[in-house]
Amino acid sequence: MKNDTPSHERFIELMLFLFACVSIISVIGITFFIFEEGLPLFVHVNFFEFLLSSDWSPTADNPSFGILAFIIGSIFVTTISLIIAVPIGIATGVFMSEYANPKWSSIVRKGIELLAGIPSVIYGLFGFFFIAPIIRTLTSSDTGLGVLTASIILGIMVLPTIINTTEVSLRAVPRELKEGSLALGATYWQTIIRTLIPAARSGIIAGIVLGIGRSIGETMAVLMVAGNSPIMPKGLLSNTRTLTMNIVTDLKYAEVGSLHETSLFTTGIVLFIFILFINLLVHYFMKKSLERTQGK
Amino acid sequence: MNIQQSTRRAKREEKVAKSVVYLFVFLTLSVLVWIVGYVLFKGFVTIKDTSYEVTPSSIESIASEKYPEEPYLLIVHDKVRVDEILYEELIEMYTKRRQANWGDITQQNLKIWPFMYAGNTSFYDAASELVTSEESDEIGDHVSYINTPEEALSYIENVEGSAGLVPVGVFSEDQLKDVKVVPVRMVGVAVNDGVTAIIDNMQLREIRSDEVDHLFDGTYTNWNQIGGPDLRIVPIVYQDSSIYGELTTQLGNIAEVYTDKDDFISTLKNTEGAVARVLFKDLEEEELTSLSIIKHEVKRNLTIHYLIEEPARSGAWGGISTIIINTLVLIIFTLVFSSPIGVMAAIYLIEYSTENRFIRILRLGTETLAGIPSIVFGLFGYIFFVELLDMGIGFISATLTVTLMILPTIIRTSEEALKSVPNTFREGSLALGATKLTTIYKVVLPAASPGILSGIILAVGRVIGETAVLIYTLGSNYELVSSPTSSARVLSLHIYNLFAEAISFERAFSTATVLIFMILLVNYGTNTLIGRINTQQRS
Amino acid sequence: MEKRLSVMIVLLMVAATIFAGGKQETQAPVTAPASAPAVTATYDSTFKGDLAFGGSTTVDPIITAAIEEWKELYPNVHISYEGVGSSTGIKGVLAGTYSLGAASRELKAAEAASGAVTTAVALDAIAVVVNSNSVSLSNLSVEDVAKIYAGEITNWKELGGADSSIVVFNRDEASGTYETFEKKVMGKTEFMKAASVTTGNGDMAAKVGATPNAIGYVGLGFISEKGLKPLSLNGVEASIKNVYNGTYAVQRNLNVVFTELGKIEDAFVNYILSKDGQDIVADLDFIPLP
Repeated sequence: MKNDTPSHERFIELMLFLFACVSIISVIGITFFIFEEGLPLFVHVNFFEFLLSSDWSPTADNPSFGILAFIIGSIFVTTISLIIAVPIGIATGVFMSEYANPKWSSIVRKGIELLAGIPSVIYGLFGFFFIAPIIRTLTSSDTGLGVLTASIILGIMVLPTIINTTEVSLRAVPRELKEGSLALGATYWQTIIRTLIPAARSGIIAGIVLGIGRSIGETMAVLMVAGNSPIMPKGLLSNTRTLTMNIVTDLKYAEVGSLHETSLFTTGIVLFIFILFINLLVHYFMKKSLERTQGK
Repeated sequence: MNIQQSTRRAKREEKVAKSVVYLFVFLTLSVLVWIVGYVLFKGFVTIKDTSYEVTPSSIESIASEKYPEEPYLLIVHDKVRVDEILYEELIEMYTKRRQANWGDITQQNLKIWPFMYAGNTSFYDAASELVTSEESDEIGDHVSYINTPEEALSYIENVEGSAGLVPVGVFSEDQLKDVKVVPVRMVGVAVNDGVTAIIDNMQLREIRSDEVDHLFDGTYTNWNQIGGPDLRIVPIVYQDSSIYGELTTQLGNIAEVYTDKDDFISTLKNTEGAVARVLFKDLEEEELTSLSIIKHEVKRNLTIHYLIEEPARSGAWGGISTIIINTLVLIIFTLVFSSPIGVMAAIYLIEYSTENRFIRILRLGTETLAGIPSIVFGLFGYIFFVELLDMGIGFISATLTVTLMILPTIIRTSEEALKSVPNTFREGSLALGATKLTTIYKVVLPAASPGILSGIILAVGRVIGETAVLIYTLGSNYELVSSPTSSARVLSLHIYNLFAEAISFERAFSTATVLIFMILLVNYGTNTLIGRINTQQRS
Repeated sequence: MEKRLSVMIVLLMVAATIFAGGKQETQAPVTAPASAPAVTATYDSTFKGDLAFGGSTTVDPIITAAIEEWKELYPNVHISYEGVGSSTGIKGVLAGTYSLGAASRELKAAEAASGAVTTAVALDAIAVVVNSNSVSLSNLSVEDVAKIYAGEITNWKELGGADSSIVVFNRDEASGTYETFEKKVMGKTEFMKAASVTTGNGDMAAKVGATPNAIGYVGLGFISEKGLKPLSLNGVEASIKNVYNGTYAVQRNLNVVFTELGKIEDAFVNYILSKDGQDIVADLDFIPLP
């Protein structure tokens, strides 16, 4: 068969193959360059001090590069955003796959698509001009900016991811499982909570992890609402700076070629490792979810 | 019994659970409505407090104190979007050494071409008295002099950005029908020095426009009622037959009335707590202390002009036309790069490859690429395209970086679309003797095209909204992109710049509104295509 | 579908040409008098080409406005300005990316040693601003401001204001504004870290203007932003007059940076230094050179 293929088709197949390699090459390229630019920091700065100190004063006479506060900031903001988004997201996913009639399901789906499509700067504007004043009036927060506002905005931003994956994984659960449960006398809700959600567990978790990735990687929206102090966040209302914010804030001013600039790429490495780890988790759960539904 | 209880409990549970689910769905939808509604509302309507040196009251027929018998109208070219003008702006228009620009007044990037009607000497004297002040006493070189009413009318009609003072009564009402007569705000509020003294680090500097009347009608009697020092409010009024008279009619009845100007000014300067309405010009000439006036304004925000005018002065003037086009150009070029690569990659993965370890690695690569945050893409674009390949911050660097970013979206949706083409199509074509390539090109691709297209449109949505990746690759130049290396600005970057440089929040919101409409368009496009796929599959 | 797409592209191109053509439409009216700005002395009709400038965001408004005005004299010269920050701008000048840079600070020794030269084109005073709706104070001593930024004074009550805690906004520490403020106000005192960090003059103005009980500091060009109230320091108002007579101390030069001035760049710098250029500086609420 192969020998029959005309040479120009072979050539085109080779082309197609090369194009298919573009994404993996890009990933390798991105990894290489971020590391190449960022790793030299450790010639001058102790590796553990970088990760475990929260003193960030890159332009001081005696500069210190500690990004612990930003790591904690990223994790903190992401966690709170998930606490907000997960219940709402799963509930809406359940609604879409189990409760909604076609008309409502289509309305909600279009809404979620719009929510997913709104650019992050617009979320930032909304957070700054709408959420922050509300937080300011309701709490003791002075600015209304900080962990909570950033988390609310991020929570809204990751909702579509969680809703979609929940809905898709629930729909992938074989019908017999549901019918079996109902036939055994379980109520509809009992079926959902005891049979469907456990069956769709891996898919839902994959969606949540995907949401974590989006939340940690988000830059512009948090930049506009998180307060941006390079300090360890002390509570929900405290100002914070995340890894992404640190890069975007300082890159504008860092002297090119300085240790300060290098340290921003190093911050990028940390962010990148976080993301890679999250990607692996997603991959793992997706695979598990696929095995589950196909295995049955 | 037990069974009954538990069923009841289960039923109750069911009800509670269902309502919680519905509540959360409601919450999701209302968040969406809030966000979109809020942005659109702020995009179309501006509500804000602005601080002025003059009160909101304005008059059309203006005259100087020195020439009360020579009143003038300010007429303006029709294209200038001005409803009223501040007296200081009028003076600036005529006396600024460098030609003034309407941008400072109406945000239109349009030079002001003032003229002066100088039919005879007395006209000229009166008019120049009106538009000069002690500090700015020279009329600029860019002012044209016009001698006949016809000439004045034709100047106003033909010269874009023109404005000029014409004597009241020279034109019939009919003639003025086609030109814009703009009223002038020329009344300030002067107070005795003591009122604005710094006491305990505090100072009264401004008052709300609706409070001004209350200073004169007895509603307020002490300055400490509006945040000033503990001083009695002493309203005084200067009244004569000229323009002052016209402006004093509404001054209330408890004020002390003066008919001698010097008397009036010295009372104002020497009486503790004194306040008076004065002509704006007097504030400077008599060296009076004044209060700023805060006016609450509700205005239309996004207009058609904003869409079609070119931006100027970092976005504070003009519109966003070039920025919209830059956005579209960026979209087109990223698609030109990314869609062939993405679609062909998908074709290879679905049509040619057999599942093996290497292909799994390729897939993992795509997935990883999809998960990388845009700021990391930005960093990569900055070191690789901008610095290493020396393309500079500009269009080409941004296009290539964004191409990599949206590649996964296109690959994945194209893969799905190709997968959904039934195998019978391929088999049929191959059986008819077509080669594999012809089969893919003639049979598989056309069948998958709506799905592929919807993936591409989805990618467009991502490009439209991207900001973080563009800050350090695309730049901030808001002119029309002219070469591959020229730095450019797109809508999302413009919003961020307007916000971060505090150039104008109103403009940030109206730009956001434009962006939201673009996203709606993209979503509509995707939905239409998906609808088409569904009907296709059903038939 | 393809047809529709191609129609769209054609429409787009048409739109592009219309918008591009719109630029030339603004021709000077016939009756315009021939005013002779100072810069025409160096007018050279052979000037043409694409130039890239870049640097400080603080100087951005001045350079951008000057470019837009200058363009009318030299329609064949096309200049873009990239607000990338002082340091990146200087680096860009040294690397040849930008033929002219702008910086809101003085050169560091290393930069000067690499051949960079500056010329001051304007002055800027850094004003301490507070949220006008909630902070009643109008004057503070420099020491008190330093204490606020050091975290020693945390409530407006301590300074005679209302009983509410002070919300402190600071700038990113690599910015020229931060450096000047540190030098001229803080002295030896150290900033507290808990203050919110804003990324630009405008960002600062926006956040102080929108946050009750807030304090911050911005270039003089930004004090008229919504919701801001500039404070007098030691009883001296942040004004042009007081900068000239030296009583207002928190001031700095705004510079253009270059290694060697090309003919066009030279004419451009001369334009900013000319009466016209300095008028632009004044229009933008910066301080013209005395």
